[in-house]
Amino acid sequence: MNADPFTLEITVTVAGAAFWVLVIWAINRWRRERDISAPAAYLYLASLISLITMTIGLAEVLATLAGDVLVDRPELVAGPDELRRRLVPRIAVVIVATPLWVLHWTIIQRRAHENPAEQRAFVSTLYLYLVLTATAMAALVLTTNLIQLTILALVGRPEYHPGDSFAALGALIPPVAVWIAHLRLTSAESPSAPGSGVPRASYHYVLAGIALFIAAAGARATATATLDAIFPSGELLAGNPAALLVQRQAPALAAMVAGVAAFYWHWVRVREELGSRIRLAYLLLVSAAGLSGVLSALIWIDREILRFLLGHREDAQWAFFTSAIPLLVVAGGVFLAHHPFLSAALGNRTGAAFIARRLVLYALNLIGLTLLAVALAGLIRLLLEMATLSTRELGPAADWWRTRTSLFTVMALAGLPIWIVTHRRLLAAVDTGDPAEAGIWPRRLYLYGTLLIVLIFVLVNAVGVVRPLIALALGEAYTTRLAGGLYIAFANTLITVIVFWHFARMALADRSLTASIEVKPGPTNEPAIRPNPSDPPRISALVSRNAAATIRQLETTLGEPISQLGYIDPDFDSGSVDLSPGRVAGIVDDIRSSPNTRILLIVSPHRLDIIPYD
Amino acid sequence: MPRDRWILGFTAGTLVLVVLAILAVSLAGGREPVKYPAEDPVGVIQRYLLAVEEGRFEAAREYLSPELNNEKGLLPAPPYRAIPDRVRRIVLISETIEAATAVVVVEISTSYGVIDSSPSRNHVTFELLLTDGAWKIRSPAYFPY
Repeated sequence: MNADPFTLEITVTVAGAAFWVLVIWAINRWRRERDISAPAAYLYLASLISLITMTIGLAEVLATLAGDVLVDRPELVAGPDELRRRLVPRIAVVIVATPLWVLHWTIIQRRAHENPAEQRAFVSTLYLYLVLTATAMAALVLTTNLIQLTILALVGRPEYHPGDSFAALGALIPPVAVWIAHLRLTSAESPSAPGSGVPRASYHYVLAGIALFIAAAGARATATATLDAIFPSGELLAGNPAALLVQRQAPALAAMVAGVAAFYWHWVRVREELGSRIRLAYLLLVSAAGLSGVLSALIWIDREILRFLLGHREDAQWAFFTSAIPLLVVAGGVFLAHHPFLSAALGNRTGAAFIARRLVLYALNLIGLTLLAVALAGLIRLLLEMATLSTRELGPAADWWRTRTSLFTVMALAGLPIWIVTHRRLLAAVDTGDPAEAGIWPRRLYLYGTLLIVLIFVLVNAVGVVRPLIALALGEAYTTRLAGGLYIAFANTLITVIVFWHFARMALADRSLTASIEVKPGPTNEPAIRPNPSDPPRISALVSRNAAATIRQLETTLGEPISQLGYIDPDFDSGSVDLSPGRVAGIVDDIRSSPNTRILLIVSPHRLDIIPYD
Repeated sequence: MPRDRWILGFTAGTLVLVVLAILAVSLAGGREPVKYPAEDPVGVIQRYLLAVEEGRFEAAREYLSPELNNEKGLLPAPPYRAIPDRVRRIVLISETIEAATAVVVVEISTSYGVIDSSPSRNHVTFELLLTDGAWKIRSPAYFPY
């Protein structure tokens, strides 16, 4: 993107402000939906912050005491002054944070004692699992350090000192203690607590995902280090090859071992679970990460091969394989290992699985289109630059052109088939004439989100085209610098305008499709019989707190009021209701054609029942 | 099937651009740059940057003015070619000569990493001084990469 600083600054400022407004609005809306009172939110948040601060302070104090005082390390402890300098700030953190945590936790406990419903509230469960997540993540990282030091100790590396292990162990104790204490609290928690399934499952999936990432990074690093040792890219200028291998392998192996252990610990607890949205989100994200790794490795390998075919030669030209092959294998392994679970989750006949299938399709389509668009803009830019090659090249630029051309060519050839295949599947799904397809939120997000982002790119790059043209018109000299900026902006603008046009046409087609199913007033074109406004509403509803919009939508379409009888507790682990215009039209038809005089609606994120009665 | 035109359009456009780019880079991409005379300010900058690129730091120091040349540690220790996937292009932006001083502005584009579609572009202004009949670099005092 070729943006002048002023345009970029305005764009970034406005986008940043809009983002934070959106975040605050979403948090507040979520808080209301979950029925979390402001005092409860404050108490649990204050307790969480002070507990984490206290744990960090304790970990640092114990690490210093165990690593530098328990073990004689004259090179680290330069007398009492040095020890005091290191310990005092950490002890101060503990002294301040501990009473703050005790105060807030005591108030929470007292409120729970006075009102047992609060103990079972969603915010209480959320707090427990947030603490568990934070401490488990810290413990995972610190355990990695400990294993790494153990490996160095076992191979007898001279840079290892027992004090390092004691310090690592000391730092590990507080987060593990807090984790165990809160794990016991979650065991005592009622499984039927409102919404308690959400944070519990989230905790396991978040930890499994993080541990998998650490394990995968460790596996890739250890494979790369081994391959580098077997196929060295050149002569080692300093150091011992075996020592270098140990130094690289120790952190990689530690990450792999700790990551795999933590992954299985959390994964086995949710492995057989079915149908939740959190599971779908986890499987989609992990599969997307694996697929991204595979795609990146393949683009990397193909780029190097194409660069070679275009004449690029250098020493150790194929040394990149020691990094690219492990990336391909590890990322491919992560993807393939999760693929059966993802297929099973996507194959469910729930609304959430349907939405997830569409998300996958739209995301893949956007990945293909992004690769293609970036590559086409890059190729146009390269052609413009090469067409105007002048005597102003100061360095041998052959490598530059070969590298850029091979990268953009490979990106284009990778993005094009992805985009074509997914585009055809989308056409087959949406062009069935079912307006419900055009109304689902993934498609709205895909269309209007892309339109918005592409519009920003068009705006910024168009300024980059118009600005030098105005400067030239006003007499500024045509320089290499001006031309370079103009080429980039022109290529980007051209491609983004085409993409914008493509999405704008799709949005217009969707709009005409959904407009065609507007609810007709009646099957015989006669005006519907409106109820007498003085009569009590014949339709009543039980709704979840986040389904109020649905009631308003139905009231508007029906032209009669709906009496809201009360709220129901939503089960947030279940699927979603199809509330597309077509579905709403069907509901309205059902209500109107009902021979019964009264109707009860039950509306929540996962169900919409129409119960006629007299 | 009017929407299939998009597929045809993108496919045709991609293939045309790919073929054109490969042809262009095969025919013109390997063209060697013009060698500027060593006695010109631009020629000095060209040789200085080439020496640094090839890791010949002692040779590069010869192009610095005496007060810079005496300072050690101005140049990076490893030759940047040792850093994988980092490719540079250097373009002359302008050259201004006034009596015994000259200003040469170059644009250094650097591509980092494997999938770097948007390389960084850095404008560097070299100030040169005519010293004992030869142009010497007076600034920048640090290596510009």
